Amino acid sequence: MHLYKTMRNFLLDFDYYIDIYENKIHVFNYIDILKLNDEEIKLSMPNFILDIKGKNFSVKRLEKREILLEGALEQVGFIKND
Amino acid sequence: MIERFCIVKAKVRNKDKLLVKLYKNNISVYDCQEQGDYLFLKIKYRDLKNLQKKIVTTKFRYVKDEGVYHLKNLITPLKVMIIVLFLVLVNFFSQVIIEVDVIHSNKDIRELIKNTLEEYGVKSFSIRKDFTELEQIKKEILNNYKDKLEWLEIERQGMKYIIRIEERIINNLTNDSKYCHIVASKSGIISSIQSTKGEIIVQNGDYVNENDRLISGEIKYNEEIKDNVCAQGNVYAEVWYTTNVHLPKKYQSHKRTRKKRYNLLLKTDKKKYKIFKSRLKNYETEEKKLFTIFNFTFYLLKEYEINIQEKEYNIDDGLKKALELADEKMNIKLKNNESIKSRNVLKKSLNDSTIEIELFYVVIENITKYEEYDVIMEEEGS
Repeated sequence: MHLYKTMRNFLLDFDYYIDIYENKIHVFNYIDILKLNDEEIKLSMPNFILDIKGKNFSVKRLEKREILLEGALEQVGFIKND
Repeated sequence: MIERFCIVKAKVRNKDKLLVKLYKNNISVYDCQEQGDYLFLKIKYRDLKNLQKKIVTTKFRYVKDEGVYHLKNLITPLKVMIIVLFLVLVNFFSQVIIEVDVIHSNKDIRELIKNTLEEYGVKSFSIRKDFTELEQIKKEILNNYKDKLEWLEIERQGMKYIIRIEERIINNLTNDSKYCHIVASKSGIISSIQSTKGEIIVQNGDYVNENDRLISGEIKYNEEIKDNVCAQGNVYAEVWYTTNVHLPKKYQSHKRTRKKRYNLLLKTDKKKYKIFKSRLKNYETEEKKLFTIFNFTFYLLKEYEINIQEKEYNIDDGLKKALELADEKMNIKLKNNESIKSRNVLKKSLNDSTIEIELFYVVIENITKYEEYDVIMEEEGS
């Protein structure tokens, strides 16, 4: 069962992931953009809301399930869905 | 199928709002650059119409294609034609020979080879031959001029053929089928004899006159001729010369000042051209090769200013200079293994404008001269 899950996820990319670099953040498999401006970005994720705070944010890549942001990252928070 | 991407430009006040709008309309952005009031977005080309249709509040302008399609737009038929034409021209010029240079000291040989090569199509401004053709030409020329050429090499250096030749030197007189004596070409005292064939009939220290026999082709035993050969060898003798040297008393001395100017020189086969006019009145030059294009060679020319002074020889300096000149003159006449044995000043005089010197030279010189002779065969019983 575990093997089946792993294979399915590998082929269909169901899992989300968040990669944080020095001045970039890459989010994969987000659900929606809730807020987007220079200082704060809120993304709806499967079980929570991802709250990214910083300065001079700019979108480098924006796709249906993928977003790449560039800027001075200060804080990354999680807001649990009720 | 490769996805076509393009760059669109939009004037926006709130870029974040626009990006959210794009997201809501399912339009992916693959790159986003902000330049002043404008936002440059990289999107799929097929999304462009959709974008212009759905987001009417912002005006989007197509800027250019990206990636392979951008390259496709860059490569226009005219550009392709120019590149192809350029490659064809480069290929053509790499096949052309613009100069054929025959290297040999003998002018007649140079002319002969140049004319012969022209007959085979190896000439200036012609298409170069391939290796096998050149080998064939070399072979044929060597066959046709067996008596004149020992060796021939055709080397291609860029757009030039360099022809190197070795001349065949055949001394017919040493042919075994002929009979010959070695006689003296000049009068003198024998100093050394080297012989490989024939009978030596003089000794070191003997005085010989011109045309005296030195090495005989007749091989004798008990005064009877047993065999005839073509005598071979070298006979050296002391010979004497008197020579006069006239040297002008006045001469010009050249002394370089510290002034130096640069110029450019263009050399072609026949002429030299200075690119700039020389700014110095009296000068000496030194050349340094810069580069060669086709038949034109460019040189950097260093012009050194010189002071010319009129000077006059005194008797000692004049004599020294005159002796140098006389030795130089004599050395030009001498061949291999020949040398000046001694030199004496017979007369020296200082006139108003010249210095005159009479000199006596003793020179060790090769006086070998071949002289053919016929052998009359006596019939048996007569």
